[in-house]
Amino acid sequence: MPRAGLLLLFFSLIVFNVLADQRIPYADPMDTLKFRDTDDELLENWHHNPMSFMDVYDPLESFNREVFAFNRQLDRYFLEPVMQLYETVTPFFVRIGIAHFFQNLKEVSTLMNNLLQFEGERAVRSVGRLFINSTLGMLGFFDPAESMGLPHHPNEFGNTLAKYGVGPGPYLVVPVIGPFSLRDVSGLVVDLVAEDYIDFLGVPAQVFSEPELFAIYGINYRYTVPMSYDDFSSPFSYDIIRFLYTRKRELEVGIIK
Amino acid sequence: MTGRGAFCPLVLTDIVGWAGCFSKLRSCIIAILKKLLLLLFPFYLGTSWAYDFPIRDPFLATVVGTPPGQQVKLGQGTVREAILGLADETIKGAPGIFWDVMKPRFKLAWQEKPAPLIFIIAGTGGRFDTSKVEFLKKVYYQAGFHVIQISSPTSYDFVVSSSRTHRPGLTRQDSEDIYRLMKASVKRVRSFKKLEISGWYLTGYSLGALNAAFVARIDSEQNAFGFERVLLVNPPVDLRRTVDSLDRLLQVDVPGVDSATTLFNHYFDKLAAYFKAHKSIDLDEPMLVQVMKSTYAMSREELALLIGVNFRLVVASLYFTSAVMTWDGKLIPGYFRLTRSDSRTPYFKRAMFCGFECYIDNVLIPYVERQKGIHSGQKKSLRMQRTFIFEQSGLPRLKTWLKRARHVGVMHNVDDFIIDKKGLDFLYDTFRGRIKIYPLGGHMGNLKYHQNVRDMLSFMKGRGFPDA
Repeated sequence: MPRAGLLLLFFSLIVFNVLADQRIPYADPMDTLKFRDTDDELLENWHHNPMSFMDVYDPLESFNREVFAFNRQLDRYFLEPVMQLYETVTPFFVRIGIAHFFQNLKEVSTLMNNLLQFEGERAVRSVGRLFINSTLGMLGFFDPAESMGLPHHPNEFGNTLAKYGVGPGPYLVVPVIGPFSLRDVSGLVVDLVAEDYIDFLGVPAQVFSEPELFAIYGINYRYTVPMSYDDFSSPFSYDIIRFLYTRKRELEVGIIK
Repeated sequence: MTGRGAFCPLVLTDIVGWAGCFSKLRSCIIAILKKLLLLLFPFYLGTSWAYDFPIRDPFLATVVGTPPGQQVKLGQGTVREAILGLADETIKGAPGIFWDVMKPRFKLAWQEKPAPLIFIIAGTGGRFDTSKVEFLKKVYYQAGFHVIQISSPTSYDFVVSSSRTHRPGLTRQDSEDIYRLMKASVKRVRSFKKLEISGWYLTGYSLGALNAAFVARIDSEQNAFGFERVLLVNPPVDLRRTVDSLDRLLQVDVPGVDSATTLFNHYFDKLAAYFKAHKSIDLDEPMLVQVMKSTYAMSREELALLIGVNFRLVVASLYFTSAVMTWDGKLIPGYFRLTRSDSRTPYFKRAMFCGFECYIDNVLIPYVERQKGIHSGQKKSLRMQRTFIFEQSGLPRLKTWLKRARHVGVMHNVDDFIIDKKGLDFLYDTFRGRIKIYPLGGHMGNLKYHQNVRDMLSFMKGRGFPDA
């Protein structure tokens, strides 16, 4: 009978376990934290200018806010419907191909800026990408360089200016294209002029002169911006976007310096 | 005939087996026990700790969620969906700065065949298309539901366009607003598309779960839908505990951090160091997991602080929106009309100093007093007023109804900081067989974990929770 006894014991244990309404007890995570001794709240600990980290040099704020509101309306009533249409009428591989094509053209200004910043290794990588993607990648519609270990690392004239000590200057919301600093929007103009001047594969000149091509360029530009105003559903979206844009640029510039 | 022929021998051996028992009683008992053991073992496994959610720290789980590898695998099929507005309900007389949210909107995903419809209510501050709602939409859509996504009453758009008082926080009122919006949205859907709806379902997470419970209660009185199943995911129970915890998260002790600015610089420097080391900047979910695994990983307190600041941002938006909509002079000078070009930064900064309790004291309590026509002479203490609001608006308010409501279920985690021991016991006692409690996950960290999604669907499809 000992075998039966043992089995009976097991059996009753299991039955007990199943029937006893098995409650996992509460484990208070707040108990595992260390709290400050003082009663005051972190955010209330202010002296002269509370939350000064939010401050961005924005002398044109009221103008910027108007443009910001305009851009949001443009996005909601025009660009987003266009994006929806774009995504319905073109298959994914076409959209990604177009994105690669324009990215490949950007590699020209990236190379220029890598050279201006004396970033030798990055410049060599840009040349490699440009060469591989323009040939094997069928004029840039594919990005085989990425799978060969040469991922896209954009570089812009705004970064070059920053490297040589130019500060960001006032914050600007540019109609249609959105948040910039004065330094970075100037950099963008320089990059575009340089691209047009170098005229790689003869494409940039055509893009800027033929409306259909320019439309595709514009559609792709919006398509590749991974952001929508609706991501910041808040009455403070202007402040949040200004803050995030400025800090993101600081981080990017910090990598180069 | 062949079928029955194959069946007979089995029955016969069973009878022979039972008959044999009488002669060999001892060995038969052993055999029966063995069989029972084998039968019960899976249940035993089910009730014990067979939950392998990979993140053990509740604050880390709350911040980074389920690692992509352990998330439920969702198909890539297209979702037929649209954002629809309720033009008839457009709010009149709201300040122009809210032009983008004057019309109540919701999101619909529809099936091409007859299907049940599920409403999803977003959590604290979330709009109808916030990422967790979008995730739940995909889950239920793939399971064959039509889906309507509803903003949280605490979200910017809801406060302006769908809240009657523009002062969200009193759960019963908020849920009446939601209920009205739900009915209006179904009407709008019918004019948009001919849908065949074979049943009504409801779910919500976090604060949205509390709203869902009250909406279900209202529906049990008014019967516009008649929900077949209602699932509450990580609801707050006692609101005092929730408010205390969330406000207290901003008091954790992180060495070197004593003000908002040092706090921000603290995170920023960490991020900057990380990006410099990795030579690229790409802010997305996998990156967040990467940062956490790296030497730049954050301490428990740092994570808690991050969660606290995030919730504070929600209250600040709420406070500001409510103040502008109601002409409340405490945050914004009375009769000062904000225009599009006016800076809101000073109000933003000031609103950030107001936590949940401050919001209750400054917005809800004066409102409740006015409603009840209380004069300054008979005012109760703030503490008593708060207690009153918490009692009216918490889940325990619905206790007797919830005990009987066989169609309402709940999922929660034992390490979620928005509840406490009393709250968890309340859930166990009230929901009994309609509860699923996980040992890990923090607040909503395990939402996308494959096992959680399986349990959710199992409950919704009427099979109850496995092992509950």
